[in-house]
Amino acid sequence: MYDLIVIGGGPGGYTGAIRAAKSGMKVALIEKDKVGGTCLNRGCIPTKALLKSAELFESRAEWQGLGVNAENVTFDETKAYENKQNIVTTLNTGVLSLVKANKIDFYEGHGCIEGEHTVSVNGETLETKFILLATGSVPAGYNPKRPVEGIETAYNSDNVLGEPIDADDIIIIGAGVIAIEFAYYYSSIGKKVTVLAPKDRILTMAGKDTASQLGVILKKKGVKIITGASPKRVDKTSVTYETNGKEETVTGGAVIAAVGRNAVTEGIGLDKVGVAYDKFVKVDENMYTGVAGIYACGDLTGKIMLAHFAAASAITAVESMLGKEHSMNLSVCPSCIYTLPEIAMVGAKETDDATYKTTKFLMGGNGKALIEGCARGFIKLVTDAEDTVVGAELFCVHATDMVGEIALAIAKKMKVHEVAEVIHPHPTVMEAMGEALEEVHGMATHAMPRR
Amino acid sequence: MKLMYAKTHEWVAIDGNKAKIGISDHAQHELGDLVFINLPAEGDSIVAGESFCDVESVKAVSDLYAPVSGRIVAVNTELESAPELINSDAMGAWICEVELESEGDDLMDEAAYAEFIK
Repeated sequence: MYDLIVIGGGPGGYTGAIRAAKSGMKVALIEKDKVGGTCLNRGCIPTKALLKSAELFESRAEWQGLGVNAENVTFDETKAYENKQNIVTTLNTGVLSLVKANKIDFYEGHGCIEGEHTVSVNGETLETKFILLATGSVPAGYNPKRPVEGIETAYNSDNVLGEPIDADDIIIIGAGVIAIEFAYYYSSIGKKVTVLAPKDRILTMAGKDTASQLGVILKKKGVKIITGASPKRVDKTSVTYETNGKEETVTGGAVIAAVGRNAVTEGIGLDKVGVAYDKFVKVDENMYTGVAGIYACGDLTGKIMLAHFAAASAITAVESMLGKEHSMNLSVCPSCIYTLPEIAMVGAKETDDATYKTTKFLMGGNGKALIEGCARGFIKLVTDAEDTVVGAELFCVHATDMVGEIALAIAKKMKVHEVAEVIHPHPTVMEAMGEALEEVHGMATHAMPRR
Repeated sequence: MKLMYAKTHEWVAIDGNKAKIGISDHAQHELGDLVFINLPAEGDSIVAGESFCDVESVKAVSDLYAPVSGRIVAVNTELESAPELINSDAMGAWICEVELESEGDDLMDEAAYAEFIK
């Protein structure tokens, strides 16, 4: 008899399992593929590993100016994939040893709910007090309301990250985070890229200024962005799309569909116990499904489909099981896009409320950003009428590492001066955050006086 | 065609019920090299005296204020990937064209503007 069985070993599932074990629960973790889930095996980690190779290769144009000379620099994509795989394997092994060290029983197989307190795996039936569903998500085919004929002939993020695509001319359907990171990667290693954006711009979750600046940067890298393109048919290497009421066809060497993700709700026994779900499993603020002892976390719940939210929501679920007070604040969740400059967002948008004030601080005067070879971009802060920090959008080098400070400020409802009074170290890109905070009241040293 | 300037350094070229808007050569010079323009969208309504667009130079982000009120019927999207056109030809690099509803207060003609920036 277990205290907790976790179905799914991604960032939600394994974090939940470890937290439960550290809290004294007897835990089983079931994973049918590899621990680490999408994030570690087919998402966050592999894409960032490949982008590291691509960014280094692309920076060769600056080397000479920095005093570094190299001739005939080439890109070996097979090697880049090998490096990616080594990192993934190291982390896989690390997670497995943590699971073992926490005395969690690990089952490699397909877990399925059989009853409110029973789970089957590999023909075995396990008894448990609680169940945490953490089955995650898979790349979406397409919106059933707008079917795309032949979409299954396209690559998706799963198979693209498996091994290199043998094509020099790549068409990407979609203009969200995954699509744009792929566009960035392929254009950086010298491939021709066409992005078919369904809306009037890329990255609709980001501010218009950020998205259009990144759009310009991508175009300068040779990426062709076609906006308002609604795909109709895919034929392995070509896409027929509708734009302004007429059909056009674009042909390349390969097509990648990056059109969102669907939760894995099938085959895990939800109906056997009456767990409510539509596209996602429904949960309350405790991540509880409403069915005795059964909780869910991460992508499966469709709240925020990001690894760090999955982990935080799993901790919330485990604490709820134990009747403990919640230690995670699920209302503030930063999100990151790994291009150059990077993009990081957290909290409210400038457009959310007419009383919000937006302050933009430019990176041009930041020494460290200049040293890093990327003086483009800005920090945008959103504050309310009481001078409380409520949101931020960072578009600069190291943005994804810097967003944490503002996430903390938002979560603790801090006033601008309470964050600004902290000395930021020099020289760092981070010190621009201190200046952005000062600039809310027009006092940043490295900003021109307002006209 | 009538060319007028706002105190906030935008120019407006009014031709019947249409008006094209840009920033003055003096303004581009003060701003320095432009690296980005956050263009308004076609169909947006702009109000005289209110911000309708912002430009980013190597030195600062600056709001541009509408010299007239009206609905935007065309946007010079060429500026998006080439904001430097404003630096090289401020009077030629129009930002948007509006269907004119009303002119802003205190617009100046060329001579008055030349005096204003002295």
